[in-house]
Amino acid sequence: MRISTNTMYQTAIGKISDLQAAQSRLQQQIASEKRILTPSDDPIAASRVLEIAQSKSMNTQFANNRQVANTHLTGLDNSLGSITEQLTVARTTLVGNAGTLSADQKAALSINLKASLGTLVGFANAKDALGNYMYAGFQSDTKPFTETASGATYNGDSNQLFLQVADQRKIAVTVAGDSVFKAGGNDIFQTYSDLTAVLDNPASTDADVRNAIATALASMDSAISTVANTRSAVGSKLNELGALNESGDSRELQYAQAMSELQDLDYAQALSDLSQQQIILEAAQKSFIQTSGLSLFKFIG
Amino acid sequence: MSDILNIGRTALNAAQVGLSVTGHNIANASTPGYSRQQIVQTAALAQNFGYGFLGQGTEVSQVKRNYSDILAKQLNNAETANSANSTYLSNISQIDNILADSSAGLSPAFQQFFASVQGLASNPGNVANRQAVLSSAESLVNRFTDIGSRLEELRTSVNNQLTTYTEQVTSYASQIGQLNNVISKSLAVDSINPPNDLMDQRDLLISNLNKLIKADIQPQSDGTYNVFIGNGIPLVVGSKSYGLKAVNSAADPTRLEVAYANNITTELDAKSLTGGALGGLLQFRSNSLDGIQNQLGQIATVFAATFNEQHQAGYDKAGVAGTAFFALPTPQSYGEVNNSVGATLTASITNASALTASDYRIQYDGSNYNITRLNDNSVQTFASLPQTVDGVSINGSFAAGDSFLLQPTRNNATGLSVLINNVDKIAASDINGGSANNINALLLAELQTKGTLNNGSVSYENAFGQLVSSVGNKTNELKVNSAATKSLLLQTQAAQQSESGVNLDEEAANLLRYQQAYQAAGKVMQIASSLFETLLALGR
Repeated sequence: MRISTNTMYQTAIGKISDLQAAQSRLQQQIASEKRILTPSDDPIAASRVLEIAQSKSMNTQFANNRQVANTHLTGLDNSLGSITEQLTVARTTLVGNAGTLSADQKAALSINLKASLGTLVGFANAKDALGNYMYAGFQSDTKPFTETASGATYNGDSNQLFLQVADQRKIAVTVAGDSVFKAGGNDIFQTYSDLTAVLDNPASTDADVRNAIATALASMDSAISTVANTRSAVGSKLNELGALNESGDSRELQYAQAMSELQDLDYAQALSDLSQQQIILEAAQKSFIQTSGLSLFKFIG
Repeated sequence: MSDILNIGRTALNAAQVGLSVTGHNIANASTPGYSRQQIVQTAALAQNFGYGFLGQGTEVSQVKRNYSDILAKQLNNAETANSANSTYLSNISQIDNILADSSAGLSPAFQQFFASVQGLASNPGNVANRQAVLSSAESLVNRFTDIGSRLEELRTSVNNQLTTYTEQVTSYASQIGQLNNVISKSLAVDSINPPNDLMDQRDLLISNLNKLIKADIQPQSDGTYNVFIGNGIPLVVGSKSYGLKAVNSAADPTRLEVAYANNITTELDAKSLTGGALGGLLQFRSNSLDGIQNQLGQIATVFAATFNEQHQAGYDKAGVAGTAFFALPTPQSYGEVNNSVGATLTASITNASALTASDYRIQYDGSNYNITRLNDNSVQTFASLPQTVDGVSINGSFAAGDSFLLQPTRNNATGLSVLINNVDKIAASDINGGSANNINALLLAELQTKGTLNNGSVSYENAFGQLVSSVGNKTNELKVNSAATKSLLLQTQAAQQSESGVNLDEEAANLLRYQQAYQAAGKVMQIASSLFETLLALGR
């Protein structure tokens, strides 16, 4: 075939510029550490990367939510522990005063119980690490319990704060005050004040006092068991969070791996391609110089 | 003896012509469109002297250019296909690059925004968490408007390119017309010897024209070319040429369309203009840019509408019902230029989830309203307005023959903005209130993965993922096609050049050949002269 001089130059230049384009692309890939530079390089992988990035970001967000949930529940666990302790001490005191009491003993018991009630109301009005009232339901910036002559009134509501701790899992991370301290009509604060009212009343007979203590003991037993149940529910949620954290961590790893497989560059391959292309480019440049140097005009004297 | 001298002279002449044609070839070796020339040399008519025919030397009967109609036609076809593909590719690659930026793309902004909504749900009373929702909403809106405005820039650039290309086509057409005129006049004088270099120039113009738009050539008997584009629209007839012009579309004043400029200017159907940079550009706009911009607008609209809906179902810090969080962009509509005075169209989005990424045409024929969804040309006919089609409520007053173009989502990505500017106005709670009430915040957070687009089948981010993947696929397809047409073009160029191109080594050999022929002819003349000298010497 007849080859025009133009074609010879064009072919050589075209080939060299193709090789240079391929090289610059490889360099970009190496610099960005990515195999996919634009969606068109691998459209399917590019949209998969977006999907996984979303899952990954949500997974991270759920992990943050679990941390918040953990703070809430750990605080709750501690607080419920203290409440149980307080109630148990009061109960022990009551059991120790089961016999017939003298006026001094009644007065001492009453003082003891009032102090215990104060402590208990203090616990019920505790704030969590974020500065919110723990037992107020959604009314977390309102002090939930106000002490009155007949115990304490509840200013919160019955709602619990739910957090999304996993893709399909929301858990309650707070307990409403009324479900702890006034569960099933058993108002523990009123139990205290009813008993101290009988103790403080000089007209109360020994039988009145004994009955009042017995009623109070029954109420305290019931309250202790309510708190214990609540606490065990909190404990099982903490366990669940632990399990969710593990699966979340393994997902995180899985997502990172999938992303890396989809978009990361195979360095060894890229570097070997780069040096191979360098050799080809050099060969193309040299052969261009040599063939373009071949001209009959050189020999025409 | 004078015969010998004469024969020598013809040989000398022929060698001289040969040398100058060779020199011309060398001079034009790299001239675009140049076809190498050759002399056609024949023996001069012999004379019978009784003892036989005696040759009378040589003559140059023609200087011919090496040109093949078929190869030129193949080259033009390859040029027009390659130019269409590479123009489409270079334009869509810009979108490919816009979407490539994973750190600045829409997805991270969506993720950041919904992470902040989750943060709000975990501690709804906290001012910092509420502030984070507003800040990340702003940055999400910025991403939408940024990508949207970059697409809009591309649209403006398409308009500018159309103006340039149509001007070039017009200029080529007029130059071809002028050359037709000169060539036909020259051939009328001497039909045997065509004006080679002028014909090369005209063929180059045809080739350049094909790079802009596919042009069909019909050679005429007088040597002129008639040139047609599109569905047989004459661009050049003999020495008369017509032009193209970029004009505002009758249906959409923001859009330039190609029009045929004869005595009157007629808008051409973009679909009929194929090939070349112009064809590639029109294809890019109608097959890719329109749809991509509409889809992005659709995501923005559905996101704003569904988020607003849930936000309005909640209550803010003060216990007041939530208000719209985002300003919802409104559909755009344009009346046909020939519409009756007072024709109006109003459109509003009533059900974002039912929105499509299509544009619509609404026409009234005097008794019925025909609403055409333009991406699949499906028509719905109604006797009266208002009507709701694909989530858009359409109303207006039409006279018979009036027509409107409706773009429900085209510019909606750039039209998005955040309305809430006070952290207390974020409706995180339900009607019961309370500073820890996160019920609505949880529902807002769930929108991230909820099927909201296309009648509830796709989430926001998945819809964006589909958009990215479809742009990627189209760009990839064009890369492959473009590589194929480019390699075909190179092959065709090589074939055409093998016929018409100059090879300098060949010309060097010709130089030597004609130089020697010249020297030999000179020798013949010298001998003839010395013979004559012999005769003269006899008389001394």
